[in-house]
Amino acid sequence: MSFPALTILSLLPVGAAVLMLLLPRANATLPRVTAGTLSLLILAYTLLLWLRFDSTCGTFQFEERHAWITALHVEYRLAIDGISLVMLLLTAIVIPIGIAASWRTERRPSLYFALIFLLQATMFGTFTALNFFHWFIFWELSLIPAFFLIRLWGGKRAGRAATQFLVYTMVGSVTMLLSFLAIYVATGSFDFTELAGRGAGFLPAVAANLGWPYLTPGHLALLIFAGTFLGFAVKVPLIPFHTWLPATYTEAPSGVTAILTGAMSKMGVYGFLRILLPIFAPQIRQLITPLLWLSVATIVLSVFAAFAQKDIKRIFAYSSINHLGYCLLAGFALVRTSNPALLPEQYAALSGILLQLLSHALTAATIFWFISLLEFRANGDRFLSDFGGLRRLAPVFAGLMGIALFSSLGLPGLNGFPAEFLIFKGTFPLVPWATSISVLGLLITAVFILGVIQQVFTGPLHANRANFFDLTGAERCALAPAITLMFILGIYPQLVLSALNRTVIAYMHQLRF
Amino acid sequence: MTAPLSILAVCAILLGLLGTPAWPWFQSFLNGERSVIAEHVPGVATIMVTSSAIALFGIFLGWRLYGRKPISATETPDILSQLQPQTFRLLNHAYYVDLIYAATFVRLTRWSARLADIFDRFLFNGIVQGISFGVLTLAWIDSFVDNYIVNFGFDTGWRSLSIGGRVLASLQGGRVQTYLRFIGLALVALTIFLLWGAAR
Amino acid sequence: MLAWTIYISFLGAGAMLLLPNRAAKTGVRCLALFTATAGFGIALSAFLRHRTGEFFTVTDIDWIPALGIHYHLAADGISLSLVLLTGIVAVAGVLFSWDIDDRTNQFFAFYLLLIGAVYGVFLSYDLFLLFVFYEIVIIPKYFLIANWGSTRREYGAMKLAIYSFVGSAMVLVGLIAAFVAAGSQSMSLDYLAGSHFTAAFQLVAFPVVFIGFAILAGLWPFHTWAPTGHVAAPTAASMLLAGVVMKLGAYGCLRVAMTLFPLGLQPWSHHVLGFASWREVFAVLAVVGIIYGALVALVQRDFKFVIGYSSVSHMGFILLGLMTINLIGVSGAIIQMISHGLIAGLLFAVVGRMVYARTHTRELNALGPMNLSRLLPFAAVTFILAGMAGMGLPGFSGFVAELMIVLGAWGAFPALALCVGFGILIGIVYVWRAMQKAFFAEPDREAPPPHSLQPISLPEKLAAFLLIASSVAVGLYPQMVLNIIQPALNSPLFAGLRHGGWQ
Repeated sequence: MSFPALTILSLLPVGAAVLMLLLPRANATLPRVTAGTLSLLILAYTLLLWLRFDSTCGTFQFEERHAWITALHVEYRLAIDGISLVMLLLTAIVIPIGIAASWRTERRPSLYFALIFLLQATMFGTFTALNFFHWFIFWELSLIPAFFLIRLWGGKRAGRAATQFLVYTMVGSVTMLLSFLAIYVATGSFDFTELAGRGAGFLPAVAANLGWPYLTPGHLALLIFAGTFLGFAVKVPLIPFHTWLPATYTEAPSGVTAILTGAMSKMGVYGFLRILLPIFAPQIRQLITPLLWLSVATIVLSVFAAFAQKDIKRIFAYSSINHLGYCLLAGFALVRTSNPALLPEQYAALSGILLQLLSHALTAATIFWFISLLEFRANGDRFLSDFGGLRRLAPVFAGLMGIALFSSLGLPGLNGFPAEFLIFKGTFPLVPWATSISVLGLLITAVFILGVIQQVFTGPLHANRANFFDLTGAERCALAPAITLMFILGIYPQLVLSALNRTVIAYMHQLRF
Repeated sequence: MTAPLSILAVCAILLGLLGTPAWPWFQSFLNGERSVIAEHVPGVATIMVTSSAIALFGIFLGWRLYGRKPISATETPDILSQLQPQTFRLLNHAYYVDLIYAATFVRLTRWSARLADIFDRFLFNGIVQGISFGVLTLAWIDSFVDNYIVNFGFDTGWRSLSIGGRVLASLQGGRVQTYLRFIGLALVALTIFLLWGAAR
Repeated sequence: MLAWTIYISFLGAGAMLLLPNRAAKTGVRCLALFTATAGFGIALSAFLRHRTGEFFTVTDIDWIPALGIHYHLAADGISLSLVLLTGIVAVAGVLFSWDIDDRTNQFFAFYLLLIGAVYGVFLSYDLFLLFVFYEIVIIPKYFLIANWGSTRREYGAMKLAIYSFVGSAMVLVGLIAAFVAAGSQSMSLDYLAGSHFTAAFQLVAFPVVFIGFAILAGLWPFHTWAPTGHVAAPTAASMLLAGVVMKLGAYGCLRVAMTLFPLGLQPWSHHVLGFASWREVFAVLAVVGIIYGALVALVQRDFKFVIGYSSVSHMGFILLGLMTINLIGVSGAIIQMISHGLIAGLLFAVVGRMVYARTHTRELNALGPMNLSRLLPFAAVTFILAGMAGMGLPGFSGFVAELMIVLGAWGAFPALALCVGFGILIGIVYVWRAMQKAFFAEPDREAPPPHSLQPISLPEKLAAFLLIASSVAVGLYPQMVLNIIQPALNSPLFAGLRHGGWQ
């Protein structure tokens, strides 16, 4: 029997969580250091998986397959391809950043870090599972540690925000469950690859099989698609299903927000790529225009809303919606045409999506790390009007945060640029009008990010910030790898893309409509 | 301020060496072919002469207006402002581009931003709050129905049943005299009925 | 051997009553625990031994030969799973009642009597015997609630008893009618299931017997005894009541009503109020119960009422699963019986034993400021896990059950499947609301710090662990129960039901 690498990957954070809970209460530094070390060990294991990943074949690797509930055709099946690998990697990178951003948590740090590790375990589980039952377990379970992290360590209105987050996401999950059960009734399968491999016309056949007298098979297929779509649209999120996000990201502690924006939002996009596009491609084509409008709205509305905010966390919450909107735009554009001449464009778009996921994870998590450092030095103030002229007192802070902000803006040379470039290069030939409008997103992002830099770092020194101190040596050492990675990915994205090429080709080949 | 400008100027000049149409060495280098010095490039001469002329004229004008007598103090008014006040004002306000920009694009962007924010806070959020309000109302209605209609219905049913039972219970007082009295009455009624029947 | 589950419980009850009132409390409790554990052990060994799920006879003795009534105990996969459930909940209930101080021996005597009778119902093969045990269940129930209960206990106990008697009366009428119509030969299950009653007879007998049993199963609108009864009962009694006794009703629906009168589920010749068959009527009532129970639970102020109404809601799932008449739906209903038995037990234990017994209040608004998550962390974590299980979170038994029931519903009543989705959502909301208000509300800063509460004792922790572990085991590996349930559903006994067509 081959080495169960993926099961171990999901179990490592669980073990870490248990370890955190067993630590003695008294010491304050012990939980932090232990958590940081464990998260880096998990990152090392993930990198090991990366190195052993065979980039020359585009199929699933590290497969583990066992019978589980035979009465329901449920298997224990784990495997990864390039897409899953990117997700695992970005999760493994974001968790240490989140832990570093939560370094100064005072209340029950062991429980806090244990919940973060449990969250990581559920995310690993989601990204490796290939059977719906198994995948859904982790999808739902991820909400529980997230809820408690927001509720117990969050701001003043954390209770309402956390409840809204939970209920909203659960609504999407329940509709997704109903859809998948409908598919199972007609096909008898819960396996993603098997359902994806059934070809273009299977969903109306499913609908015909269910035998509803009230709806035509085509409409029933659309209904089933809508159920699953809602589940992912809430998670990414897509406007208008995004209202839970600003409140949740703002009220959660910055370390948790880093993880939410860095990894949890990617679960939604992963769902789009793994489940929605392969299985429901014909339905997406039927609804392509409204869906494209929704993604354009996501990109444009969120970025304008970001510009109007005064709370720094809220600005970047909306910015997060915007960056993932590009991924969705490209994702929908992938099924726009089956013209083989446009295949290179589709490859570019898909590679762009994956790179954008990795890049945004790194950038957004680092930005929230900086925000947590900012909050600590400012005693919890985090409105734009509370800052000013910090460049003079903390030049290194301003410089490094500036780098992270420019990366979010998409400055060439940093990791944001290749991703957005690939997305635009790929989607423009596929959906020119939508892409043209989305360029507004890039423009306004630049506007509000420069606005943030201007209001926080330049100008006259704010009266309350007289004792703002610069980054300590330890913080600089901790931030250095993240910043360096931004440069590396910006200048040499081939590092990541070379492992994904085969997967991208195989994925587009399989996408039949 | 002069030092950075000088550096920029030198770099700009050097950049001009990159894409010369007469000798496209950089394009050839990128394309991987050998470059050839073109003998005759049409249409270029006019541009080269005109642009150089304008640049030289600008340098001459600068030397003429400002180079010979450098301005000693900042309060001294600019020469051009005395010679050509309108031109000076136009140049001073940077062709009013900034003002146009602020009045149009910037104002539009700020408006859009505020609109998007209001949209988000009140429209989308309003819908979500509305749904949750609707569900809670439904829940209160159901609770009311349960307590006062369903439960009440059954409780009233049982109460009337037990009243009926009490009525019946009062008939079964357990007192022998009452039973004997009823038996006696029944006996009398039976006798009358039998006698009457026999009389027929 | 399985019959000893009944006998040991009765003997234990008898022994308990013979002990003097002054007997050492610990001795009484240990005896009760021993009896319950012995019953559980026997059930578990039988469960592990009989892997095929087919019917096997435990005892068969002539009882009243003139009427053809036998003392016939038998078990198949369904009965075995439910017997095992009873064993687990019984042990947990004894552990959670470790603190009963008032007339301890009488309490445990009634408790063990109840357990024994429940075992009897699940193991009966002769329907007269089943009815006898079914009636025996009612008596200890009444006394447990009336003597050791809390809010409005006499009213709650009397209401519960009256509803149960009405239900039993309806069942008796149906059973006697079936006995007579089958030729007054025997009341054995296979004999009655095999005698072909006329369709007209079945169309009348089925609803009578089904409603008779369904009253105990909490079918809307006959459910109002459940919230008052559960709230009034002491913790162990509510655990048994919601966990096991309500399942007696559902079991009776499946084993008696649906097995004997399968034609009662066939479509009528004409539509009444938009319904075309008893099947549709009961399915819709079940879904109404699911949504209605969940909605009402959402606005309750008393913690225990929330759980009481949640029981009504979860029982609706079971009844819907039964009405889907396909293999997956009915298997799902049985798994939900097991799952809800465990989860309801856990929820009532947390609310009644862990919280109420210490804080003496069940008002959610009063519990909030007490900062219970800090004072009783074990209770908070247990409630979170139990709540997650109750709202159908994957990984626990509730999810598998709801999944299978919805699958069955998709095949049979697609529109109702969507309503069930809505019900699941409300289920999530009310559980979360109760949990937040009780454990995680903002602590009242002006109030004096509350005196520290008694920590959770070892018996409570053991019992909580037992119930959670069982729920997770069924949730992650339901095949171990499905292996014996599905062959049982495919047995010749359900042939009449199958001619309606397993889908």
